[in-house]
Amino acid sequence: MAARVLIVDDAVFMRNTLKEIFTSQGFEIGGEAANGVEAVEKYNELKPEITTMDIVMPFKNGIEATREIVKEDPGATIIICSALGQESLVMEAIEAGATDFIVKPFKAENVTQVVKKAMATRR
Amino acid sequence: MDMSKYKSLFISDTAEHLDALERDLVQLDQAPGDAERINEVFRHMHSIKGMAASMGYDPMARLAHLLEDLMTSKREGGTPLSTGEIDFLLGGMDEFRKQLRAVQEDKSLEQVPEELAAGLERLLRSEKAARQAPPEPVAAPEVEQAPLSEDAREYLIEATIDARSETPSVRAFLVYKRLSELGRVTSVTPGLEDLRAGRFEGREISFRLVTDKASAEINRLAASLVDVDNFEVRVAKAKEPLAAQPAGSKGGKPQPPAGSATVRVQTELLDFFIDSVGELVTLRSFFEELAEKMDSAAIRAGVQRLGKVVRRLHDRVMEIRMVPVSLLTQRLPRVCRDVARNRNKQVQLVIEGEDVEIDRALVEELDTPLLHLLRNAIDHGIESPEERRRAGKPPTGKLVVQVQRGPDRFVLSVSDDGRGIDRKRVMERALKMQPPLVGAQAQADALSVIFRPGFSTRDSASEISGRGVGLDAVKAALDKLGGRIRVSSQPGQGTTCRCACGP
Repeated sequence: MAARVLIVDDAVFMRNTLKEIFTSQGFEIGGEAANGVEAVEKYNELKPEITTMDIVMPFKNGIEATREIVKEDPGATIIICSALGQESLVMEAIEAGATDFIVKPFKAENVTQVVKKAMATRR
Repeated sequence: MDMSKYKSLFISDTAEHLDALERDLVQLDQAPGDAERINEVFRHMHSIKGMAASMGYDPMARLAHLLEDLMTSKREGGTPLSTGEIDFLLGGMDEFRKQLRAVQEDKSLEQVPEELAAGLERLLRSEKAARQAPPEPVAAPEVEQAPLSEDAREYLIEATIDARSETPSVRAFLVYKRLSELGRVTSVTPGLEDLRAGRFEGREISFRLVTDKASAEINRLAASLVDVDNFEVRVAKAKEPLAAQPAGSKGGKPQPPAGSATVRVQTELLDFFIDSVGELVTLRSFFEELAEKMDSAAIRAGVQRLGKVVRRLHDRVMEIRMVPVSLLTQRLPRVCRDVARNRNKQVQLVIEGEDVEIDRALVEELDTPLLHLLRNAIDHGIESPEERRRAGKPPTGKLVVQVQRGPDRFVLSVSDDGRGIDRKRVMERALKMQPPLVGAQAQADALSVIFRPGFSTRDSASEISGRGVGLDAVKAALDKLGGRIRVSSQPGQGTTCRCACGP
């Protein structure tokens, strides 16, 4: 059974890019969310094997969403998607429980590597 | 001795010191290691302390004394100011201004706020401890750990972050986080504060970890780490009794002093405001004409007042979306410094036109492309100091980022006085790529080929920007904005990338 990914980003363009990358890696797209509130909801509904999380989003940011998700599910595998220059935010997200991160604009092979390692060392 | 006759002199002198201090702190924020400025700040604090003490303004003298001590320890230690320390200094500035107002208004001075004073005292103690400590700086553990057993050992872990990583400080931080899940990290070099501030020049990071887990388990961590080469684990000391809680502390960050009140507003809302104001302007014109036709003084007067309000509203709303370009360029000096040092090049960055105003959306869209252009210029354009000397150029390369506004457009250009684009090499490279970027008979211009996806003239992929993503992403961003990018280049003299787009 294919692993499912939850893709969280407020930009449709970004979600589509990520969907393409994950599909080509053999993942099933479990669901999408456009903000932190939806992210937590969908996560609890879906319990995906892996989640990608944008940081800056309306209603609730990715750091808060990560914190909430990890609190309920300490084994959650969450990959933060950030833009260059958001380093301190990424570190905050890591402190909040994110597993790893990728930087936009994405290079497919970098995303693949991060995802592979995250999946391999899932707690 | 009656000091009251010196009061007005004290007030004007202190105000001058505070103004100069603010300028210094802004500069130090960009260049936290600037020894000259650190000295300046020290001198200002020393002066303020002296004056306040003689006037009997004890809370002011106390604060100045603490800040002076901080600056003394920075001067002696020779270390750059951390973000936390700059925050304290800024907090101190605000407190000084409050105190000065109290002096002016003949009110008694309030005691220095406890968080500020206590925080500074803690910071000073840990600075002192750090300087007296053994080679590795001691950092307080940031993560709550279960008590460790007698079997706990101390390990020395060294890791190298891959040169290709664009975010080495975050990668290093991630290693720290993973290690802290295995035990207690007693030291991090470079320090966590430096990592958080993005100050991570080399690629090496080392940790001391106290844990009762076997070294095999620590080694297994390497498999989960991306962009980390050379992960080495060594036992530091065998069966060491658990060290007492380190005396040092984080030297906490106080909340930044409240500036002018601001709120976050969704850009959708702003767009709605702008559209609505646009409609109001149209309606106002309609009523102005109607008032003329109906020839009613009362209606005309009402419409005139309406017109004034609408005009003011329109102007302010348009202001909301317009922001100074410095929002886009303020990070550049730091990035330039880091990239140049990483590549062993000397670069002088000049930014022109920082107070030009542009639409907020442009700032968001151009942020990453501008960084790419900057990195490319330093990485590919500007030569090493030796190469420059051989070419008869000054060893320090010059990078100019210029912003200009026209009535209907906005131009951003990045120019370097480096080696220029080698057209022949570009075409050769393009032909060699799998699949080739251009047909063998193509007449494509080298200067446009560099924008094609995947293009890079670096043979090894271990360069910061040589992964071939930079320029095509820049073109894509400009396309999205309906703008254009043009490159001009003279071999041996330099390259200019000019981005032009609408308001």
